[in-house]
Amino acid sequence: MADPKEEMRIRKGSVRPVNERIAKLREESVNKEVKISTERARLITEFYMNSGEHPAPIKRALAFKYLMENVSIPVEEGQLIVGMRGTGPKEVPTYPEVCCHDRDDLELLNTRENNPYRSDDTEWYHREIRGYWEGKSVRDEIFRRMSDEWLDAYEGGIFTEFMEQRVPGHTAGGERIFRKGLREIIRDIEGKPEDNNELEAMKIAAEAMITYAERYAEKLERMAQKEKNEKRREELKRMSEICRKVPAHPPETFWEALQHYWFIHVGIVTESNPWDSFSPGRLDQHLYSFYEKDREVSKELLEAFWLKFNNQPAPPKTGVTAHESNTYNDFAKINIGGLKEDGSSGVNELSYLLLEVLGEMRTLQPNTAVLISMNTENELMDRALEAVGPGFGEPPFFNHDLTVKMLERQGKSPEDARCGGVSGCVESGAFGKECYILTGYINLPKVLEIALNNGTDPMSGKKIGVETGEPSDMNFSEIYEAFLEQLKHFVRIKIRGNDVIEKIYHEKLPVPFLSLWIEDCVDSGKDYNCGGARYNTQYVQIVGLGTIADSLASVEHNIFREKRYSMEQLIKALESDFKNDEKMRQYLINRTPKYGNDDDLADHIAVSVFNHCIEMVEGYPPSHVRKASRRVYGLPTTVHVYFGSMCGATPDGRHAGKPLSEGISPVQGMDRKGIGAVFRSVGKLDHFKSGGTLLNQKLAPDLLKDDKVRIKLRDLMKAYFRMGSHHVQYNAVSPELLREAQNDPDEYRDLMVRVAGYSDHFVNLPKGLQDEIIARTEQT
Amino acid sequence: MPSSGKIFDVKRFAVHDGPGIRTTLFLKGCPMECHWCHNPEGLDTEDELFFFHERCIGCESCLSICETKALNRRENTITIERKRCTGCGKCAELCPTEALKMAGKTITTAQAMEIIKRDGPYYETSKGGVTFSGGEPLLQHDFLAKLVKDCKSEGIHIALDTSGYAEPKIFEKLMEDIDLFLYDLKIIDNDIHRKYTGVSNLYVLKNLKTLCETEKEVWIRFPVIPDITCTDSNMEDMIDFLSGLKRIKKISLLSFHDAGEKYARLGRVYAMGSTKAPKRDHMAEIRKKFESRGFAITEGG
Repeated sequence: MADPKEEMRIRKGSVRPVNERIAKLREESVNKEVKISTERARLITEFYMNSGEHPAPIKRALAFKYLMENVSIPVEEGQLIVGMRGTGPKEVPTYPEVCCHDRDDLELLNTRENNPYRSDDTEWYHREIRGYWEGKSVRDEIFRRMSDEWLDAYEGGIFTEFMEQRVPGHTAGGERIFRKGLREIIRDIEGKPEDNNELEAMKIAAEAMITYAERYAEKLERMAQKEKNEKRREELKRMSEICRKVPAHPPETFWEALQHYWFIHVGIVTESNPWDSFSPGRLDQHLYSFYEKDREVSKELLEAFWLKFNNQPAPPKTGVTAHESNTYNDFAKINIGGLKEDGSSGVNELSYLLLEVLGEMRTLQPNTAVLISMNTENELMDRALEAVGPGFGEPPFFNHDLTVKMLERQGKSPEDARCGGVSGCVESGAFGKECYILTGYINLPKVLEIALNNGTDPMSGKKIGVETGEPSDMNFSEIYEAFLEQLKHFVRIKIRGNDVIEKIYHEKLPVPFLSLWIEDCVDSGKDYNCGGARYNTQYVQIVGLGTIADSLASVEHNIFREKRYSMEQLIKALESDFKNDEKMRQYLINRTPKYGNDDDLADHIAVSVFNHCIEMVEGYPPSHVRKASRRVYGLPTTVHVYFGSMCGATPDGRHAGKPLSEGISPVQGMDRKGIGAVFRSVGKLDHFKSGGTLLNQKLAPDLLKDDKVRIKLRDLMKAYFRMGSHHVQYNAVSPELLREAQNDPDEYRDLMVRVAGYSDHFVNLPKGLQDEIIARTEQT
Repeated sequence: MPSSGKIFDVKRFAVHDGPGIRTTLFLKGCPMECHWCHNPEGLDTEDELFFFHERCIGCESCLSICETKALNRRENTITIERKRCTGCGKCAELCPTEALKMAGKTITTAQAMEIIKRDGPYYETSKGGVTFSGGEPLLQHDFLAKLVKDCKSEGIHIALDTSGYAEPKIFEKLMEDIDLFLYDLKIIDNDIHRKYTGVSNLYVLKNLKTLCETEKEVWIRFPVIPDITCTDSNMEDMIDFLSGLKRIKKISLLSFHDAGEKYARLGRVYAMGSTKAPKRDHMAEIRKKFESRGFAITEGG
């Protein structure tokens, strides 16, 4: 029996910042409450009220300039890297031009139990900010322009919409960021033909960022003059010099490289609120040449850099979006390991150092990804699994060979593919060269529910699907066809909506500053949101693969093969949420083939649904504005809880309202044949046809304590990747500890667990999500 | 050779049953009846009925199907009259929650091979393979021989987890194709061995000696059972015996753990109800004793 107290002691004991300065900064960062900072909202509103008419790119560039000239420039005491989104650590700005909160939204954010955002200016905000933006924000525009069928499906919990509160971003930096200074980019722009608003806007944005860095340089110089401590005085002077150099000029030292990146990061996430944040990408690759020159202070600088991420929680979300991603985590992700451009292993000393920093800092942000290829040294996997040991869910593991294969399949060059990695949760991308936008989740079990009700949503009574017939007259393949027919209907609605939204962003919200850093926006003279990136992709994310596979397997097995129940009986039981059919429900749960047990019947259904989704989405021609190809991801964030709440009982025995399965993982608790069987089942999917898939596994903490067993786990994972799978992440946490934390949240505030493509504080999760994580099978 | 046999479990990703990642098949039936046996469902050669009372929802599906009236209703659950139960399994077939579940399943060697081969990718990356355990796998030696032959021809590494209790000629014939023996050695004194396991240890000792004269890899497993196997005299005997076998260098200590719940689910009497698992200090002491005589010790698997 696990001892929760002991488990917690081990976890706490593994936090070991490199020195006292970092320890202090970490304490402050971890303990600080999250607050809304109204400064950005005030500035952007002032700007829009007074700026007059400009073409959209110019207007956005001038807005960015106004922000960078006027935002506060806080410096955390003792920090080595400067620049911050917001007015201080964990003080989060809002983006009213995208999504404008009203008084009620802010009150809810302020007072809600899980992940609150404190604010004291709600009345002022409502009057001044909301008063100006109501009806003008992108969000308002989107809901105005969506069709009735889109709105019905959205409200019915069939799909969500990423872009209604966060702007397209979802990309990571490539080599360009660490190689180029802004002066050089400005010269590049000046060498181009004139009369291009988008390029002109990029130039304004570049100059605005130089101004921002200079403001910091001056502030740091003033601080140095007043500083009594000699060591700190020298540091502040050095920091000031660095800010005069980068990002105007390319960095030359490790410190300069981190500061350079960070200014760019802050610029991108101040310009707008891209989802997900922004990421430094393959950090061990980008930083290695700097690291070679500057080893001694590298770890301290990296840990200081780490905390910069942790001090920037996600912008506050509301409504459905708050349900689908209920976390402070903003999904900035650091990639470790993987392949170099030439296909050889990219693992270097810095890869190990980053793992060390991750294990010792143990903060909510940034997220990481360990990229494993057939060429990757075992040592890296072993060290990474050690970090999982006293675990908080980090790091997740990715098959980099497969990431490359995915990207090549989408038409990227082998070199661009190899320099890519994963951002957000599990999303493959050609870093620094691709605009790959997540547009929303699709609720697969809900689509089945609509099919089983001949097009009607039993929750609302509305006919939101197409008429595919009464299921009681159908055989299994007809039921399956009806499901596909409904899915096709909703995918069509979703994709149509996506194209309208893409156009709205093209018209209203170019991102000149982000465009500076993504190839080939400058070369082509086109904004990132208007198709300037070298590669353009648009994703929908499928959710509930386990639940849908088990539900269809249950129908096939129980109704048509074993003929244990009739279709009418099943439908009746689903309608009443198994009210008088507990015996049937138990049979559906326990005596029916389930995905995740290496059972071919259920697994083949998962494979078939997966392939059909991809075929359907990829069948659409490229989008109009960005010429983006259409692709599929398999990840959930926290939407499986929301989607579950919108979905009635399912034929796999799941009660109405309960969470769906997450990612491509088997249904919680239904994978009963061990992790080897789970990997075999999941390995049957054609992962390479998607852009990324997410698998959660919960391990008994003891498994990772024993060196010998850990090596076996590494070899198991290697085999799993050889099967062509994409990703796996582990929670090494006992159910006893999780239950104890539910009972006594104050004692367990530090406890972090893997949720979906990110980790979070367990006690901050909504109860439904906590229960869902406890229900996941513990592999022993 | 029979093309089918009886198993009671399959463990995939077994990490304590030999090198690398193993798939362990548990063959049903054992000639011994060790008091501390933690797989009591492996003892009998016949199928047996497990009852997980906490899963029972009182639906009564099972009551009417039982031909011998071994099942009876009691409040919201059932009771089993074990004497009447024939192990036909019809009730388990109907039970929606798997509260009633059969221990024991007849499978063909082809089916067994299909299960074993599924984990091929794992054997490859980890240099693992299959482990036959039990019960005592040698009890179904014909079935085992066929499986061993098939695995051999597939190039799968084979481990045998055995008590060594089998007629020497059977043991020797099977020995050939097995790559690794996980050999359970319990008690050296034959009378005490008889008392706690129900059988003589003559075969056990003889087969181990024979084995040690070959080049086969052997890992000795010593179950640490308080007051029974880890007495001073048994440990002395054990060290003497093993020292006489030139190739034995490594011993795994398997600590006793309470298996009472499993016995209750099978309706069996558990003889070790009051025994506690040895404390960490005690395990360290035992470890030291072996180490001081030149053996390398591991704990667990």
